[in-house]
Amino acid sequence: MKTYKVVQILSSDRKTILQMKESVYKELIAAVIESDKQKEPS
Amino acid sequence: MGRKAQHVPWIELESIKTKTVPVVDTLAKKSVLKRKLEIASGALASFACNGDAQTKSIALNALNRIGEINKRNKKMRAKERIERGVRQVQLLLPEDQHRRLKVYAAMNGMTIGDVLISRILDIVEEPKEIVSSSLESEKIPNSSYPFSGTTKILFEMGEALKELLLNTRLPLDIINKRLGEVIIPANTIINDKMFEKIMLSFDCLEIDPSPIQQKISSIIDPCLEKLKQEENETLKHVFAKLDA
Repeated sequence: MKTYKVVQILSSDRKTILQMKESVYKELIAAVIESDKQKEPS
Repeated sequence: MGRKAQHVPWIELESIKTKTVPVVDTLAKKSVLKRKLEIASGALASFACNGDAQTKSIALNALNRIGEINKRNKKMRAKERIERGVRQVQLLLPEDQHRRLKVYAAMNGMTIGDVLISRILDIVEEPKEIVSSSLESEKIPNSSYPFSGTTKILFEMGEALKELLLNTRLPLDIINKRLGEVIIPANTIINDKMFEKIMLSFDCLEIDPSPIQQKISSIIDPCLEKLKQEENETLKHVFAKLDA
């Protein structure tokens, strides 16, 4: 079952990348929402 | 929805990775660490090329530091070199700069290098855990079988590729596009070790057009498509906030 060993590595890499993307997108979206709020007339 | 995310510097990362790989390549012997460092250096390089002036200088310094550590300590073990490199890189990111970058990121929405860099450092910092959890286990743990999601997609692709390639001899070189190196020379019998190399580079394989290349693509391409779909599905909830 050597395939499983490599699959584990690949899965873990993809998970890491996905987590990184997720947090980057979250920060980005939060910044966009915040800047939209500031643009709205009070 | 999600269109704004196209501008995230991460997107540029793929094309810039190749420039820093030679530095990182010799840093770590273990393929897992190599891949993590490849990602880390790629992201740093992305900020060195695309960030604002402050981000650029921090990212460049970090990259140079990794390079210097590597050159000076050829006799050190890979793990020690990495640990030392990470410590040095962390020293280059003092807290006040971190905070300033974060404010800048929040104001501009585009440059969020600090967030990504800190995530990257977190990951590179824990090579031990990554290695022990991924390389040592040879048996399939009951808890994760039957597979689901990404593991299932990759496992099925792996089994199909194994059936096609293991113990065969291809008349063509198999190249890892990202590293720009031949991973399997033409006319070499593909053993377990070599098959592992193919699997670890499955998303960046290059083979000259031929019937075997078509067969390999017909296994890998649907898998990449499925992984992309799954990724989009996972990230959906993040983008849902934009509609709210």
